[in-house]
Amino acid sequence: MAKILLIDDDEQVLKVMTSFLEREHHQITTAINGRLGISLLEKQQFDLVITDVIMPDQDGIEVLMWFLKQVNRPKIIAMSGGSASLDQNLLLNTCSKLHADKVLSKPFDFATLTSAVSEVLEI
Amino acid sequence: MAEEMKNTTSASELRRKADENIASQPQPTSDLDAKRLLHELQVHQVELEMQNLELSATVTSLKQEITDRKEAEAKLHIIEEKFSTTFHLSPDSININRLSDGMYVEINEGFTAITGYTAEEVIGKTSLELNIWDNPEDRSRLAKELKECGIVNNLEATFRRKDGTTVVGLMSARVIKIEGEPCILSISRDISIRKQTERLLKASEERYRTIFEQSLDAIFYTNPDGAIYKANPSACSMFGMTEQELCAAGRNGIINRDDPKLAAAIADRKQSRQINTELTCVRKNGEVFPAEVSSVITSEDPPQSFVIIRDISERKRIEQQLLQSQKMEAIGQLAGGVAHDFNNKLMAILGYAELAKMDINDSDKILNYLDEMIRAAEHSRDITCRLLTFSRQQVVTPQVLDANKIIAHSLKSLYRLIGEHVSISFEPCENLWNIGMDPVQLDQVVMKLSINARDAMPDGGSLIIETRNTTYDISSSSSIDAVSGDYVMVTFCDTGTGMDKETLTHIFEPFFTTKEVGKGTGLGLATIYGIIRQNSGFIDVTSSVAQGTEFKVYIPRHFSEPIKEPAAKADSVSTGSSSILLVEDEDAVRNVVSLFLKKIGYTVHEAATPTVALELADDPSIQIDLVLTDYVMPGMNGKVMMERIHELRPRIRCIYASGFSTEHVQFSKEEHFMQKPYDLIKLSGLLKRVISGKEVQ
Repeated sequence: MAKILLIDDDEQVLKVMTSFLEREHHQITTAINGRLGISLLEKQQFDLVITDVIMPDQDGIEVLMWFLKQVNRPKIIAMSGGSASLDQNLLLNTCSKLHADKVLSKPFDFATLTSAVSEVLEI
Repeated sequence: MAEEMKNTTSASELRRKADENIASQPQPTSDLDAKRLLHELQVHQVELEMQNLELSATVTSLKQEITDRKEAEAKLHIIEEKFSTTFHLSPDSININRLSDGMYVEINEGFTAITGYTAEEVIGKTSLELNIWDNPEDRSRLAKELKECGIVNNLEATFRRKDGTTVVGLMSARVIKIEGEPCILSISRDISIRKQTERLLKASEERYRTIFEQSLDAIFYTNPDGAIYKANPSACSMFGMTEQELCAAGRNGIINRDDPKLAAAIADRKQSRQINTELTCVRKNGEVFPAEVSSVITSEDPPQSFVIIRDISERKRIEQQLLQSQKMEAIGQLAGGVAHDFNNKLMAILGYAELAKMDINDSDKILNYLDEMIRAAEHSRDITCRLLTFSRQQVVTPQVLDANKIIAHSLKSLYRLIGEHVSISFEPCENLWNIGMDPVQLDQVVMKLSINARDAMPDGGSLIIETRNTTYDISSSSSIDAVSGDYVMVTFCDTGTGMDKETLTHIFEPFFTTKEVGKGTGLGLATIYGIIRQNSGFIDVTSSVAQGTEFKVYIPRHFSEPIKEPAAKADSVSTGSSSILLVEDEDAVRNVVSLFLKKIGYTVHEAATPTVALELADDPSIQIDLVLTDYVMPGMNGKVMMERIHELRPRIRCIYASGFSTEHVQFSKEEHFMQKPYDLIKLSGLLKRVISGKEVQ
């Protein structure tokens, strides 16, 4: 069981992913934007952060850049469905360069998610 | 009287002398001698009287001669005075030189005024000594002509002034005799200014000729009635005619007579004497092309006008291409944003479908998952709706609205479109009045004005969207569209680059953009202006360069309350028992709709093509109460199909469904329309109403 922080501005995505990950007995905390996510990270320890990239009020790229300044950081999975002006692959490549441990292209299924989580947590 | 007395005295003197003479003579000795002497004396007297008469006539004649001479002398004096005055006061230069040695004898004030030399400086000198000839050949020509003809008229010569500058003179001269001495009388007029004017005029004419000959625009001399007098080479190539052909063709042969703006353009020019407008013209081969036509009436008598025609076919083509590329760019941008939202919603749908499979035996959970899936799908439907709005393919359906709700909804998408460098805040007014407007249109206004604000803040800034109730007074208005009354005012205030006054006057014009190439959305403010005018509202814009822009959108207050849609209730399915002909070429859609309709009690006859539908309609054994059909289908559209069905079954009611626009399609009272994707529950309600309507009839 891992302690996971989910950051996504789409409330339905948060809900469905929470349902998935709770089935795998993970402990899930959610945040609806990067700013709230970072404020949670400043207070709590997490094993894994799964963050969306394009969000209002501090996006996933800012979350990743915040991690660059941290000494101890959890594992990170970045996920994106693209944006109005940027290609989905470009966004995810940028996340990889910012040391995201895994990137997922939305939409993805249950198996893909659980496999990615297992991979980064080396479960 | 004195003359007569003098004559009488002379006669008395003569008589006395005669008496003395006679007395001195020997006295007559006889009567005969006396008589002879008397006779002689009488004869002498007569002779003397006759001589006296002759002398008197001579005196009178001499007197007349003296009088005439005096008069002539007086006249001569007057003439001399006139000449002298003329000589001295003439503005032209007059000089007299001796022919023998060329020395100046006399000059007038005009000479001094033109050359700068005074009489003292020139009298007794020659023109060569003064070096007055700028070009010695002028002097040679003068001398030669004077020698040959004794007279020179209008010889153009350049003289050097005392100060060294030159002056062009027009000179006439002739040889005259003064006190027997042959002299040259020369008169010269300063024509420097005239020559300069001539030079300028010539240069101007030359320039004009160059413009006329070399201009890429067609230039015509015409009269206001349309006759062409002259055309330049570009006119010939533009219209494919010779100048003679153009003159013969006249205005009616080159301007498209069917152009609806032609009559107004002619009337405008008559009133304001000039116009600058866009019209369509016709080439010799019949090709019609767009042109910018400028025309000025240059003279009333004789009536003349000057017309310049510029072929703007290429510009129009490029404008169309630009518009197309801007649209493509906007679609690209929109597609990216839509993909982002769609992927999130697909995540939800796929995820909940997977969860449903996992919890297949837990009906409560499954119901919950299905609701979530429906929510996600409904959100996706909103996204496609917005897509259609952006491409203006949406059917406009005004509703009574709370603008705050629509703006709050739009903001969800706006955050993604605007980017994090611009902060958006929404300040909704409490108890905001209702408006009557299509919510999609309001969403469009919010999106476009916000995107424009974003583009005006490339280095970041803030956008404040505010709503307010306001009663507008036209007397304090600067907007020509404004009407006094109650409005809901939506304000978009940014801290962007702002606009100058010139830009402000053009912002609502189609194709007007201040954005760099490649940054325009192609969804200009003209659309916003059109939407707001369509809803009887207006827009006030204020802007300051480097400070920002404020758009105040006024939408008329609507006094009704928003209508709650009956179909909004999740479980309000309307059942029925009628027979429906379902025409849909998309199998998946036809299957699900058919299943649903059967489930709620209807009898369904399915047709995958219009041809099959017509066959079913032609079968009298099949009962059909209503046709539910897709609008856009291969081979035949729904409208044409229904016309044929109506030939077989008049007055049968119909519901069209389409994901495309039916904006330009007129529906009859028996026909209804649903935008795809539609809600099956809403469909059940509409079916019930349409069918029951039929039953009433």
